[in-house]
Amino acid sequence: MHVGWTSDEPVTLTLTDPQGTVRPVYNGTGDGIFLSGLADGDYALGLVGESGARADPITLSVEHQSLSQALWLAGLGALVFLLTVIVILRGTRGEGTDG
Amino acid sequence: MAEDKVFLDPTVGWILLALFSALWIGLGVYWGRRNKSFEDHALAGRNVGLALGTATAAATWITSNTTMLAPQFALQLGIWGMLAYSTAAFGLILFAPMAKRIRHLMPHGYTSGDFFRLRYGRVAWAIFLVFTLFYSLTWLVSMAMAGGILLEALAGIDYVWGMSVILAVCVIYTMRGGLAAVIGTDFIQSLIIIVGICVTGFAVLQNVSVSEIHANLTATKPALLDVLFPAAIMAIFNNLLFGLGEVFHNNVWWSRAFAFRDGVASKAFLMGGLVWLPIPVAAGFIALASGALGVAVPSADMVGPLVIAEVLGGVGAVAIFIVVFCSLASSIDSLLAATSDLITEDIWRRLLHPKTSVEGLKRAAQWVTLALGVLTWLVCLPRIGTLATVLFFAGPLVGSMIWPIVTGLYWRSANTVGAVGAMVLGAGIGLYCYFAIGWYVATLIATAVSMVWTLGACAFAKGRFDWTRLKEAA
Repeated sequence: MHVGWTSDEPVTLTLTDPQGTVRPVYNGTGDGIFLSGLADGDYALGLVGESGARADPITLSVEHQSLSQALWLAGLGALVFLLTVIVILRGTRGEGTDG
Repeated sequence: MAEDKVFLDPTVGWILLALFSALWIGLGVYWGRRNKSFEDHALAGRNVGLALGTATAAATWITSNTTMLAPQFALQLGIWGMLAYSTAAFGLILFAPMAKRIRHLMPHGYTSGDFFRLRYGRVAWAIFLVFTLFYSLTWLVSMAMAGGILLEALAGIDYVWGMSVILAVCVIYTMRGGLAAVIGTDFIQSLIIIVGICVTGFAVLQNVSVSEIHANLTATKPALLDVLFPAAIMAIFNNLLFGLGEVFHNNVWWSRAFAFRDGVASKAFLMGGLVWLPIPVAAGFIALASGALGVAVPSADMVGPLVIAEVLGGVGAVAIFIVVFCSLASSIDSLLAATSDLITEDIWRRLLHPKTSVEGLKRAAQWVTLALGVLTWLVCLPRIGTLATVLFFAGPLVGSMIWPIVTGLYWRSANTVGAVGAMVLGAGIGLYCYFAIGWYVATLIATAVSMVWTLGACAFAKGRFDWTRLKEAA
């Protein structure tokens, strides 16, 4: 996800993970950053300007899609792909002589 | 996209643009000087050898998406996302045996439209034309728009100028040189792209080790290394089937199957797929290294250029500019050539003017290329960003054509009811799922529905197709 802000001065963006560990994720004069790859859980984002000015913290909840749905769809995809490969390879060997 | 971030001095950008534009146009005119008939123009005289064949298969499939979207996939979906993107290589690899079969069944064929018309009749042909023209035109528009946007982001060249120059250059050399020019320039472009990506990969490894990248990802983006990352797992087969549908149906690939010399097609597509396979992995690796290199990424689609500029500095900025320009040109020219040939053969000759001479068809193809270029330019001019995303609607359309094509090439029992039903039902249900569930299931569901319908229609079919009907004389 994209996190954006407006500021006239350099800023530091910190991320607090569900275990309470705080780490900086951005430091500079830009106006946004792309965050990805976070595990499930509630996170807090804090933005601090060089002068010490602070923006209101933002809470971020991460909840990935259902793993069972993903595996079910992957299974269906594997079946469709496998059958497609079989038709091509058998057809190549037999050169379309069915029926 | 961070439009205020420019990697290259605009003057340098313009010089590079002018140099490469002159090179492609010069080569296009040179390679096109021997084209006399429509067959010379559209199919390079059906005499393309293995080296050029392999290079054009790989280069055409390396679009700006491969160099820009593959890193984005890695950044959003991690290792699985990177591998999911590379599964598009199976489209080329599986098309290899199909290309041999196509050459055998249709020695005088010109387009994928010829196959649908002769194999399944006019209704299926009409549906195919609607689907493939929607896909080809949206792909063309998205590439041209990406060209304008990327040149502006990389070198500060105004969007309209960048988009116009890329499009104009490709239109000129495709008009003049036809498929021979497209394939020839693809050969040079593929070499530049592969060298550029390899150099960048090694430069990244000079700056940071694999263990450091792994440690950084484990600490800051653990989901990207998670084997059970649900979104990434769902993307794998959806992306794979999208790639299969794109290659199996589109005239970009069929025209090459017809253009390659006897015995070359299957080897060229297989080798092209194997050459392409590691490129998204290399491009994705660059994105995964961004955290360890301390590169802040303001938007996912710019991660590739940001990392390259970080590790290679000014040289990297020049390199990414050239690689992006080559990626765009190698796809836009192929699309222009294949789509104009499809319109010329399937609509101009088969529907409107069946008695046109071979020289007349060549001229018609050149005018259609120009018209396509102008149409694309007009659509791209207002810079409506959401237009590029329309390409993703094409997933269910192309997925629904996989089974009618595969069974149509190998099974005598494949029939019109099966093909029409598979395309209409597959595309319809797939598009419904696109909006009701999400993009990550649309192509998969469309292909599955299409497969079940085709298998049912074949099982109940009484007639058997006569393969000689595909050997229609030109």
